[in-house]
Amino acid sequence: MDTTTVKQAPEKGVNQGHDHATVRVVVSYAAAVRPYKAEVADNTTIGQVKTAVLDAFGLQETNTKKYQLFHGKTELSNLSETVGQAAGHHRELHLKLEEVIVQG
Amino acid sequence: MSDELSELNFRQDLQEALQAEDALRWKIEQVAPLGIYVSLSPASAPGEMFQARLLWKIYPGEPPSLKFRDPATCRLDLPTAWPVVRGFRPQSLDACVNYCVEGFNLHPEWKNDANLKWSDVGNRLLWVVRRLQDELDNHYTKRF
Repeated sequence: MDTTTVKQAPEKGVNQGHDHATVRVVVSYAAAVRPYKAEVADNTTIGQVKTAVLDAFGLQETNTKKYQLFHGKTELSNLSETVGQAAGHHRELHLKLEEVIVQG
Repeated sequence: MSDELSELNFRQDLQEALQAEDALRWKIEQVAPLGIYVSLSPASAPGEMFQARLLWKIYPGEPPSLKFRDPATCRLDLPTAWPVVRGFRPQSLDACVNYCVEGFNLHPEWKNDANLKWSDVGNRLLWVVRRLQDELDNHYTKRF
């Protein structure tokens, strides 16, 4: 799977442009050769990033199949959090998309 | 899925996996139409090398068999060839994880759990190798 999105058009209502700094978001997914990359406004929510990432990797969540975004070892469970908040003072945010793994 | 289609999918994913940036960390040899040896080292112990054998019957529709091989003797039945990480059972020469067929044999209920069952989405060969690498990097304690 080749998923490299260098620049994404902002979604309607997501990025009003000039007032917001941008953050470079890089999301790796173990079943994809290349990570998802996008430059987004810092007020973009993690939920919006997740939607774009699932779409880019051709994945679909169902009631019983979920994917989780991780920043380091921390799951980003608050989908209303913004990319700017998650990135802190950094201008780049590296995330991982994970499937559920169990070790019996 | 026919053997031919499995082999076609496998070859394609293997070629893709070899192009991945992190593939520089691995030595991958194709040793069967649907099988590889992959050599990996934990980030915390770069001098320790483990050689996993991943062998599929159907690709990518089923999980692979996971064994560790002793490169010196070529044996697949040595617990000392195994790393100690989560879910691995070197004494039984198997792993109780939901990314190998041995794990699903130990936990048949996983096959019916939509969250835990095997997924055939994306490059599954690369996914399993990265899972192994992640386990070695984050949960390795010692060689058995």
